[in-house]
Amino acid sequence: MTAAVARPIAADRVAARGHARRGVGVGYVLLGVVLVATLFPFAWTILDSLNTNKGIFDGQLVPDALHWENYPRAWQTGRLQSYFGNSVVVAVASVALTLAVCCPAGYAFGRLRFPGSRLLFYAYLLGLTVPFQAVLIPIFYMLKSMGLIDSLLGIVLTQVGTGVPFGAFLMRNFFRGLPNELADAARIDGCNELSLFWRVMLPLVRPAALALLIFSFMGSWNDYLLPLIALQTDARRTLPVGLVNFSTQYVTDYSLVFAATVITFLPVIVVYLLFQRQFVEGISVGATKG
Amino acid sequence: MTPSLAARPAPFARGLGRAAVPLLFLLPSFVLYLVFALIPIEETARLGFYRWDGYSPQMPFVGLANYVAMVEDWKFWNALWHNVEWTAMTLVLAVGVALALAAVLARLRRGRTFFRVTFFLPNVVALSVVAVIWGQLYNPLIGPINLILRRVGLPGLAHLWLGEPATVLPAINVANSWQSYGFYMVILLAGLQSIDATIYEAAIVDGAGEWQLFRHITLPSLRNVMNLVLILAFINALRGFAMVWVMTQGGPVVASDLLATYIYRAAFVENQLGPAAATSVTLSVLVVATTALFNRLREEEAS
Repeated sequence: MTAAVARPIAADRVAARGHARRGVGVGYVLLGVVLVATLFPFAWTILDSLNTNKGIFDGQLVPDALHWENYPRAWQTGRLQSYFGNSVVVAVASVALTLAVCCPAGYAFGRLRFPGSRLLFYAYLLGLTVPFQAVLIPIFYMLKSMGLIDSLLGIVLTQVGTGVPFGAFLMRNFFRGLPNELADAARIDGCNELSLFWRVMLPLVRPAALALLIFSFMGSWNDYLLPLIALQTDARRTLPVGLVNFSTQYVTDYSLVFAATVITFLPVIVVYLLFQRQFVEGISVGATKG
Repeated sequence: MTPSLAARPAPFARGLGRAAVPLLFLLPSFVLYLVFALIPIEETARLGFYRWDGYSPQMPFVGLANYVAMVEDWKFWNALWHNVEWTAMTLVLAVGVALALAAVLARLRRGRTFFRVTFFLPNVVALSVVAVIWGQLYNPLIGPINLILRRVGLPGLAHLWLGEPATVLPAINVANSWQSYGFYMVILLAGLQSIDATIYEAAIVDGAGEWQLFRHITLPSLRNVMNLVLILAFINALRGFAMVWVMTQGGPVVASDLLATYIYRAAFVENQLGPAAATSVTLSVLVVATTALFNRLREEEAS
């Protein structure tokens, strides 16, 4: 009797396991397909950057010989060096200033009580959802009247100003999560508000600061719309705008365009691969807490 | 005044001192935010009621005329509809793929980090650079997509991908989703970390199939992050600019025009700043309303 009952159940289990294995198989196929689809555009761009225009035009997927000379040619022909330098200056300044203003702001919202804090907080929340298009037009004319058109400073200040809500909100959520006892103990030990922030609280929110650093770096480095309208001479352009310009200017010199493209994305990819854990953690932290 | 009294600050000064610290902490961010966000938002809203070409000293008040012109412009509805299509495609190609990958990776014992790192790779490349790369992939003369289709004997499937109204928007969205699915996947994976592997094992012992594992364990634990992913996907879809502008500038004609490119063209190509501002306000209201709606849904679900 018991055996008779047990057998169908066992058969069920075997069937279920077979079913499960099929599911796993489908999963592996999906991983494989997406992996190829993810890497193919990179691989193809790199291979073509080492090919000749004739080879590319004849439809070779793999070049006959590796033409490394395309790289110095791209670096010298275009203003890649200048674009690259401008992008680095803007990103570094933008990230540094964002951290410098958002950490104290997040601390004030998260840990200090003061009149008008709610109202001010809602004012910051507004900026969290409004898209850049909402400020685009006045920003252009404002930068113009301030003499900040065609200036990297104008780009930096705008990036920081529009990024303040996200940064302040992210830091606030982290500061709020710190235990009160810590602040009380430090105050009893005679710690004043400034050193409490700087010496005690700030070191505890390092993961949040790192997340903010990564987010603001990516935002600044990849920014296209603002530099497109605000930077007008070629010598001032940043990499994303510069590359697009380059690719339309040398539209028929394929190998040159591909080499320039690789020069543009390679540094970010190297930085990402070196710090991939911080990147992924920063994204999850920033997205779920910000 | 006795020295002992002077040493202790008066109540007013003490109150000022207490307010001084928050003031000091908030002032730098507030000044930047005020000048580069709050005032421009107000200026955009105001400009929506005026006619201006960007140069002339005259700026006549026109009331709601810019909004009326917007509603009567078929190109506005064309762009708005493309935004809807763009969002739907993003939900399938970026969010759908990300969800499937997260579900598979959650069950994977080894190699999870490798896949996560690789799948996130396109997301670190700027959208404008992705647009340049994919513009070449779709290139009718040298692009490998048509090349491969011809080589495997399917020349009929080769298209002028960015030149035909029927294929241009899906083609650009594929490129955009290629760049962004890794971002959504990383957020979803963060939501899955709370699941203990033994729960899956116990369910398998009880005879659950992969679909049931997904339906009853993976999906429910993703509810909170899924809401966030949807908000981000909707907002990013409404904001989308760089990809379309670099690849087609909204063309051919307006076959791939989104609201963002429509606004840019009105403001900086046609110098119609009033209508451009009115459309910016409309777009912003749409974004804020979408966010509010999702937050409301999340709160209702939580209660």
